[in-house]
Amino acid sequence: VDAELIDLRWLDRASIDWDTITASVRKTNAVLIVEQGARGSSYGGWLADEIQRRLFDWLDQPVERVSGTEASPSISRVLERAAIARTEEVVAGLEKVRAAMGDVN
Amino acid sequence: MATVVRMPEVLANTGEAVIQTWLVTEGQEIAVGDPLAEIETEKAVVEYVSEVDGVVGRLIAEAGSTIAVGEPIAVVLAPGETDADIDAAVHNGVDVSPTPEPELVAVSAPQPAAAANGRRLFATPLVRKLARERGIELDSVNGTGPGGRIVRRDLERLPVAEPTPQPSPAPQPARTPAAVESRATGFTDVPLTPMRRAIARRLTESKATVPHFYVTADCRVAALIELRRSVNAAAALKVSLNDFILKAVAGALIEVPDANAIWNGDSIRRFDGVDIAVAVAVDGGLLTPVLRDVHTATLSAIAAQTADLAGRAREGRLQQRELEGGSFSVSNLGMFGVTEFSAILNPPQSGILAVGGATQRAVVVDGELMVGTVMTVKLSADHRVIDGAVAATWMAAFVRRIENPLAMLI
Repeated sequence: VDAELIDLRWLDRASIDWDTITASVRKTNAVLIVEQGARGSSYGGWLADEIQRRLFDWLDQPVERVSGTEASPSISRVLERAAIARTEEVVAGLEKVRAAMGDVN
Repeated sequence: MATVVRMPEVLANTGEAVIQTWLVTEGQEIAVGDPLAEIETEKAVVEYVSEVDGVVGRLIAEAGSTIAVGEPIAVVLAPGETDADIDAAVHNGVDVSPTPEPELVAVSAPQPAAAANGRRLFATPLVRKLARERGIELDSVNGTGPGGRIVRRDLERLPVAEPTPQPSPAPQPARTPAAVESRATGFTDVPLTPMRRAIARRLTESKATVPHFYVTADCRVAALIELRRSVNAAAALKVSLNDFILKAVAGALIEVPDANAIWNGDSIRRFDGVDIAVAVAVDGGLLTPVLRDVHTATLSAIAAQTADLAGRAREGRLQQRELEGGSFSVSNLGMFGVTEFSAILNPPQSGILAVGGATQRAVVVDGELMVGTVMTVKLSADHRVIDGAVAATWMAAFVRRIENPLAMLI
């Protein structure tokens, strides 16, 4: 995988590092937002929204996301595993982004 | 009303030009006829003067950037107007110049979004942007993304059709990792100057469309060199060998009027006088300023005119009209130690003389071997205008003048 990894560090609207994000999107033309928690009211939804608005012309595929699924993490081991995103989900997310890049020559 | 100043078509059939220097600053008052900027086209630098009175509101184009003809370069305000009027003028296209081209371009740009058959063409935003910049028709591109969507890699696979000179604000870094790793030596891509582009276009056109043929002759120049020495011993302005050659070319063109002509599409244009272009090597290319009325000019006048044109050519200060016209060129590489070479015609001219250096060579005179100073010249001629016999007659007339140089002084 040839990707750039950005740790956002500041997440609030005023401090988020758009310079880094913009430079990276202009270079890779693809975004995969990875977060552990559930998709519903998560941070990634807001971020994806901002990215597509600001960098629409630089995107070569939809902003993809990795997140936990709609499950409560407290009832059983199976449900807990389903509620959070882990390595397998990240790998699947990267695979999806890779497929969306089209054929290599 | 604020006036939008647009890039003028300084020279016929130029699509773009470069603002070399702004001669005004924002806030400066100007009147009709005041110089606004120096504009560099493919060959000449031209001063562009204002067509309106007012105050310079904003300089839109940066000095040094290439601007398409018709694009706004500055806004001139009438008294009492403010920044808001500038924006209004720029955005609404309120202007006095009759060039609505930019709007047309803007409207036609989104068209590739729909395929020819009316169905939506799936391509990513980046692909649409790149296709717009590079002028690629997406209809013909085969998409390999999800659902046949056209993605960036599909564009990268296309052969590089025509590199657009359009400067993009953030150039896409070249991302072909495999190719880069296997390449042994590195390289630098030097962006084309307008002059380089003009040379490439004109000479390719010339070599591809004009039927060239070549006639070579050796001239004995001992007498010419001797004459030049005695002329220069007395003269204030030194006369070069090349000035004598120009004079001999002019004389030969008058003697053989069939050769003093150019191809004019459906006719042959024959000239009354002789204007000769001289190839001058300049930084990053060459220019061919034209000497006027060489047939009537004296040697010292030719020398003065050549020195003036060559000097200003090197400084990039030639006017466009000084680069146009003439039926003939002279290109001299003798000073680089070249014995002979073949030149490419400078359209629309029908002849160019490639002059080598004068060297001592073995010559045979009346069956005896001796040492002589010999200069080889090669005429490239346009066969549509000049036939072999005409070229040979011309060459004989030229050689006769060079070998009997005193006649040129009369």
